[in-house]
Amino acid sequence: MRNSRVASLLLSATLAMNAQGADWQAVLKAVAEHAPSSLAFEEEMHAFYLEQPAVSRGTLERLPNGDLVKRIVKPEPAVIRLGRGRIQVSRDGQPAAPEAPAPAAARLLADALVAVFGGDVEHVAAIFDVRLSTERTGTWTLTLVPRDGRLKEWVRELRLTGEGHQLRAFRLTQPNGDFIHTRLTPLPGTRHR
Amino acid sequence: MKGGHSRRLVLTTIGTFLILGMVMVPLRVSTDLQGFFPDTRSNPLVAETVRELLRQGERGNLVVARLGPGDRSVLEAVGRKLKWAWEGLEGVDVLGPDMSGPAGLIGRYRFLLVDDPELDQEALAEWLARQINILRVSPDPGLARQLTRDPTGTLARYLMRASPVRAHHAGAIWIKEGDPYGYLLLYVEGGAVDAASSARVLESVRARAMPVLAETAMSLELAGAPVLAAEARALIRGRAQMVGAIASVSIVAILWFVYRRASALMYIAIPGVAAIAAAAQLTDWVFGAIHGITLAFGATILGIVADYPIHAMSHGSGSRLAPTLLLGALTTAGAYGVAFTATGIPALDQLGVFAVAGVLSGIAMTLWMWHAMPPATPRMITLPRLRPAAAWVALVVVFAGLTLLWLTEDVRWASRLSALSPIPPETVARHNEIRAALGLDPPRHVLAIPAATPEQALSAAHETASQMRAAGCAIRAASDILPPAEIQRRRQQALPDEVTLRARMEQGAEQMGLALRIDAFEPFLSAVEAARRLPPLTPRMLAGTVAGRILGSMLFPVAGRWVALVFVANPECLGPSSTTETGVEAVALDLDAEMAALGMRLGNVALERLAAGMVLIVSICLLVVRPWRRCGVVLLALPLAVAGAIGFQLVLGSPLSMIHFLGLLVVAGLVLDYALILGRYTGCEGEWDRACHGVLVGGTTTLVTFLLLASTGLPVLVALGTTVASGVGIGAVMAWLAVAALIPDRRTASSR
Repeated sequence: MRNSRVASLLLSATLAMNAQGADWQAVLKAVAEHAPSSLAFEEEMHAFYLEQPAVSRGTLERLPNGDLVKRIVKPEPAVIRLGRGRIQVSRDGQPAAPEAPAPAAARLLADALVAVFGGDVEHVAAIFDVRLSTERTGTWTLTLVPRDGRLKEWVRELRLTGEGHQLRAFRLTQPNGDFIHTRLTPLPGTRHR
Repeated sequence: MKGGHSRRLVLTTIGTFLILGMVMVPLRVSTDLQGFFPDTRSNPLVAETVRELLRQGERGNLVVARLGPGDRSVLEAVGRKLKWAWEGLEGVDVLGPDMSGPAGLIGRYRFLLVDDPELDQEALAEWLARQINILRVSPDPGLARQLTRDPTGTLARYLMRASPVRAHHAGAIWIKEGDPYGYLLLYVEGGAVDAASSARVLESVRARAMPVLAETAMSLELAGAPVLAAEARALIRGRAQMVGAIASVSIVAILWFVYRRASALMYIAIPGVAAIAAAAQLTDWVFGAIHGITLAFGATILGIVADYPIHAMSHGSGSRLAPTLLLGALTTAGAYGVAFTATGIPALDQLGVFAVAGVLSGIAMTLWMWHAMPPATPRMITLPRLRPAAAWVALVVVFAGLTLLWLTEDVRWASRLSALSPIPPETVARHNEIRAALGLDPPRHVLAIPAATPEQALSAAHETASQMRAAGCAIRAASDILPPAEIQRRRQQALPDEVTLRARMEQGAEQMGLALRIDAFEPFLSAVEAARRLPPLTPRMLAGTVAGRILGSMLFPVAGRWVALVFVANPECLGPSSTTETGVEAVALDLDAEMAALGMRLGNVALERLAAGMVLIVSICLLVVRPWRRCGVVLLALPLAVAGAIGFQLVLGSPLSMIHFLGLLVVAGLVLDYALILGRYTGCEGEWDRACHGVLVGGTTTLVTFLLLASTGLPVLVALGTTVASGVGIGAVMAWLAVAALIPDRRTASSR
């Protein structure tokens, strides 16, 4: 335990100084290690049926069991919970739609997001081809391209950008060019995991 | 003389088999159990509705195909391939989750088929926000496309209400959360009532699935009433064939032991074969087809005919047995005629024609061949003569024992025909489990709403369904699949024009902080616009679609009227009255109770007719059989045999069913012959031995056959086998005791 903390401190320091030499696994692990339990998000959804991007705001919380809870506060409150292989959408505590089993790709995507935010590099490597690029400014970009054909039908790529051990944004681009861009900022007063 | 015998045998044999070949080949054999449904004259609405529900409803015709286990996307792909493989297969429809049929008819009419397509601004805003929230985390391209075509989920809501399944659909299959299996639903034409047709269809279904499944590690399991019916049929057929083969070998061995000549076996076989051929042909001619069950039971009944040449050979051509045998045959034919004529149950009526024709042609053939038959001398088997006092004591003891048994044991009636099913309970439970996984509850409580036209029936069903839903009842109505035209028109008039709908969408989206590209929603806007001009959807337009198939089982003609059904999940919603709160005429049905009543009805008819047949036999004996002592032998032996056979079932604890009564009629026919033949005894030298020889040889072959049937373990065959074997055994002994008690042995008397 103590050793891992030391290792992660060393890693963080290395990343902060120069991300050029780090591999994507180290970046992802460091991000997960230092991610606060709760983040504020602002999301823009660009879709072929929208004239203007649909903007939503809320919080993104990572539960102790690894599940991600996305609470949309504006424009319409809703809670979306992503767990390993499952998605639940609810409004006012009630399921928002008939409880249909999620399609395979949706479950894979939920699984992938949980793995990304949880720093489960082995799982991420199993699902995506990952490429890391870094800037001299210390910012980095992880580009995740799905390996699985089913997920490919939904997601062209997932792009995570950050700085040091902080994830700043991620962008999910669909095969038809539609995309969802999510900016993340730490919530004041939230503790790191 | 010997040459004359041979020529007659050869000619008869060739003739019989030629006739048999000509008769049996073009025979139209039906396997539809509808023949066992009573006539509908007393209450046509109830009876025909129940018949229709059992014939082509969800209860009897749906088969669940369970596929898996596997990943959902693989299940979807394999499910799609299976659906393609099964398409076009005769006698089966694949009920895909979309129910839309080839031309997307339901999709085009969906706005007229749901209570509220939710096209006002508030509802549109709510639906758009909801769907887009899902798309934020689940960017399903299919869902996005769906959003632009049907943002308020009208089609999904229609399917959820109209579908018999309570599960979610994914492409060609149904799926459930946490369940590694995918499900397909098949509508099998013949259903549970036509097991033979269902067996053929299911065989094709499995054959076409094999190449698809060979590419995967998945298995396919079929469940449902048609599958159980086909399995039951195969099981009964297989065991009956096995028993038939063993019985044939055993009987040939017995007859060879007794007669030691092949020609004797031919003489015994020919009347039986000829009787079946003639009976089958006449039944087919009278009824237009012969039921498979009539053929099977009829052939069993005609086991009586096989005894005629045995008795004839035992007595020899010079004897005067012919009038006795003819009397026995005519009385038996008369009894069967009384028992099975105008019963109101077509299959029993067929059985009557079959049995009468068979018995008469069997005796005719026996009489024609009699003089050619070789006498049975090689092995004389006989029974000892008892002292009258001992015989009386034995008869009194039997009578007292039977009376005691009847007084102490409760006669139980098998009200459910399913009690005769040979399928093990664990197999039935497995089928129920698979059906339940799909939420497919066979309808039990039904409200039948009659009207003059389909439209009026649908209107009444719609009105009733609305009232019941308002009262919190869980129901599924024919009008959920096809609302009445008047309602469709009303909904059509409420649909907004394109400009209004466009404005509502824009304002609703704005309300939710969304800016829609309205052009992307063109498929939705044009679908609503097109729906405003559609003529109302009719049953005729639905023909050939899955929705049409389901509608056909919930809206059908009955006794010159049309009946629309409402399936009710909670029976407390069904009042005892025959009109609903809205004043609509309706009949509440409990299908389980109706099935039980049907079983009881069949049992009652069989019991009444058995009693009538017995009365006829006794009356004929009283009128014709002389001297009175001989008449007394029949009057003692026959009732004791029948009562003994029923008593044996009481000892076994078997509930009595129609099968037992059919068996008792066989017993009556055989024991009547035994009593008449043994009762002919006048004390002449050799007479007793010849009579005993015929009864013992005939009785033994009958006992062997029916004991083998009883050993199969299948309820129908066990019921028949134990009834006939016990009845014949008891009857032969009773006839022997009755002769000893009533007809003094002159040899014994003179020697004293």
